[in-house]
Amino acid sequence: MERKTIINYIKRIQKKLLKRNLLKALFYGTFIGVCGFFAVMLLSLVVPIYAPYYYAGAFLVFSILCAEISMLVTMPDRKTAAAEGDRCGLKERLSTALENLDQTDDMSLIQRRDTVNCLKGLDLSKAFKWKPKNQCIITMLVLIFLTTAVSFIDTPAKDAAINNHEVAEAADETAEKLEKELNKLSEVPEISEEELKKLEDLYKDSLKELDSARTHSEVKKAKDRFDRKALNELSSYANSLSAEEKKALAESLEKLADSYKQDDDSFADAAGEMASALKNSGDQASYSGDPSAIDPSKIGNGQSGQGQQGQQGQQGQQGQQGQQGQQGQQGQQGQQGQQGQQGQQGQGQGQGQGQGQGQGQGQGQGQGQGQGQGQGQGQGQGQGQGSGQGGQGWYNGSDHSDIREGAKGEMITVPDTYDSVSVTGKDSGSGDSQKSKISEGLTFAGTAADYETVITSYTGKAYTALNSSSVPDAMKDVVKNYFSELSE
Amino acid sequence: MEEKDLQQIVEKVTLCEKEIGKGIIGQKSVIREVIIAMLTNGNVLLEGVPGLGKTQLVKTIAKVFNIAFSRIQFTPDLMPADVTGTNLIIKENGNNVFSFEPGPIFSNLVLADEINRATPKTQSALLEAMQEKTVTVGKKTYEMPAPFMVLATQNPIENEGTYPLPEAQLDRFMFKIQVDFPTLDELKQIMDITVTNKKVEINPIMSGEEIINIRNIIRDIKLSSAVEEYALKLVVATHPEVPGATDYIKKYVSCGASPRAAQAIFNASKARALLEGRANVSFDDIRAVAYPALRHRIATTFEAMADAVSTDAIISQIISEVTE
Repeated sequence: MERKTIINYIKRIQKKLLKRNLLKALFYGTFIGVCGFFAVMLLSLVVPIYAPYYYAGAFLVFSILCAEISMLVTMPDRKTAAAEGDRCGLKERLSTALENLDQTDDMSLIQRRDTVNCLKGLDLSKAFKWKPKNQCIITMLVLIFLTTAVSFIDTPAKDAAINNHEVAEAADETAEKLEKELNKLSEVPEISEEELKKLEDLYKDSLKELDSARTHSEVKKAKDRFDRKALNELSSYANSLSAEEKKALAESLEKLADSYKQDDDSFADAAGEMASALKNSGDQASYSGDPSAIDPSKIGNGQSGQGQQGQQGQQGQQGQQGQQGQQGQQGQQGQQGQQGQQGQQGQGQGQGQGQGQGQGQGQGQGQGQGQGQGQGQGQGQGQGQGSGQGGQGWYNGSDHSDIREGAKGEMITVPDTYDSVSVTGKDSGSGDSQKSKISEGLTFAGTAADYETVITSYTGKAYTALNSSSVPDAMKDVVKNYFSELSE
Repeated sequence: MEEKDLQQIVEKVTLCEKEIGKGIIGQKSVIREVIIAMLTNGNVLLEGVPGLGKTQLVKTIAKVFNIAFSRIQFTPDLMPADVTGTNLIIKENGNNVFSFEPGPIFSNLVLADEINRATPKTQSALLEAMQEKTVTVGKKTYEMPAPFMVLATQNPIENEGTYPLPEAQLDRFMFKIQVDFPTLDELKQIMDITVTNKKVEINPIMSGEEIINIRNIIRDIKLSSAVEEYALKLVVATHPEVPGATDYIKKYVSCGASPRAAQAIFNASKARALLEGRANVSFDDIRAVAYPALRHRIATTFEAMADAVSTDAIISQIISEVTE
């Protein structure tokens, strides 16, 4: 009888101890968690951590859980419970009784009875109470207050964390978009497996770029680069197809472009243009001097027409790029490769002279002017000039020209080689021209445009023109390399 | 045996203490410790300045417990035979034969007064009796009467002409009890008894047989393993050479307590528990009996003497450091 009573009391004590230990663990786990919470919030002031309260909160929960689990695992055994019970004034009666529970001698029986009598007078409800130390409570409250205060402090690290998070989200979104684009392209039946593999490689490269992107503009650039490179790749691929296949591909690309229209994605535009180019392949686009269009017929022959383009070079003059008119002469050179002169002006042009005039010229027309006189010059030839329109020789050359004494015409500096070349030209008196004066750097007359948008569009149109033209393959590669380098 | 038997023992011992208290004013702890030693078959060394009633205490205890009492006044010229007895030649049936004449040690309660005044040779005459409860004279061994207890006294202040007890002999005393000077009120009461015609009647309460019976009961009292371990840890902690000995012990203790100290603590704590009405020993019992059981068994260093560190201070330090 006494044996059972003693065991029951010990079990009750065990339960009480477990509850007390769990309460202790909860308090100390919370205390450690609050300390960690404060440390994380403090760290977030100097180290960019996005939403630090999530990590801090996770640490708080983790520390509480660990504390509670450790208490559950180390549940007090009977001996410990008896020892704890003895501390309530039993003077080791319970421990002694527990150890001699199976003894039947007189003294053991007397001792057990004595223990039971004492246990009856023991109020377990008031025993085994635990109260945390006041210092710990005060410390925890102070830490909570400080944590709250710290959360309201704004620092560059916090702003950086938010920015990094937003950029990462944007990068993830963009990666999804790229994946979507890739998936759409993979549904185009005309695109071969090999081509798809190349596109996948481009996609993977873009993912790496997105991973390393630190700003929104870098994310956007990565997207645009992928779009450009993908379209470049497709256009190269399209060259290897037959007309029928090209047409089928064009239709597929058109559908693809339509499906993206709602997203207002630049990929849709580029894909649409490519589709049109493929459809119209063989047609020659007339060059309106608009830098976004290239008239392949006016270029590439390197013949007299180009000489005429020399006249257009004059149009260059109209830009007072007059020197572009002189490019007319250069056009002739172009025939030969006296592109030398122009070739000097960026050998691309030199090449353009004899062959890819469309190249240098196209470039020169639309761009060279913006870029440099050198380009403008040789290029004035084919483009607007062939059509006699010219005059669109735009130029952003400065009024300040380096005139060498004795030199005929105006001295210009070739951008690539920095050679000075004398060019002459006459003003044809017709044609449109625009002139803007710059004091430093480059500028466009008119409204400003985003470079990436312009370059993407321009590149697309360039490649479209290449596909529909009878430009020699080698020159096509030159053009493509040019645009690829621009995009990097 | 039942609870009432234990209760009776407690009541009787309480009566004994009361009776002793008639003749000895104050000194309650001394009386309790002497009774504990008696009930556990131990010997006691009482140390105190002259005039505190040490001899009177022993006489009173002998009266109350109704046991034979003898006193040996230790002097420098006391011989061992004077303590143990000797063989005498007597005429028996016309023949000269040796007859053993027992010495004063053959008694239930032996008062060895000022034991440190006798020579070590004489002091060692007590060794066998105290430990073995026998005396060997010549080729014959004689048993001491039961119960047997030696109560020795010594004066701590007079060192001239004294012989400090050797460690071997000191170890045979279960307790070394320090008799303190009485308080003012106690002194008043002492004067009231001793310098007036007031007569104090001391009545016998217990007998020798009851003492032996109680001794057997005490041996059955239980100790839990935690309590046993605690007592042993205290004894081990007195040794400076054991691993984990504190710097304090290493500095002030040259030699720690022997296993007899552990025996003394175990037995004494059981007796103390019984006298408090318990059939089990608690940590408090161990701590209470640690002082009288250990103070004469710890040999201190010169540094302890120079720093005036007493053995009681060392025991207090050990108790504070050793956890349950």
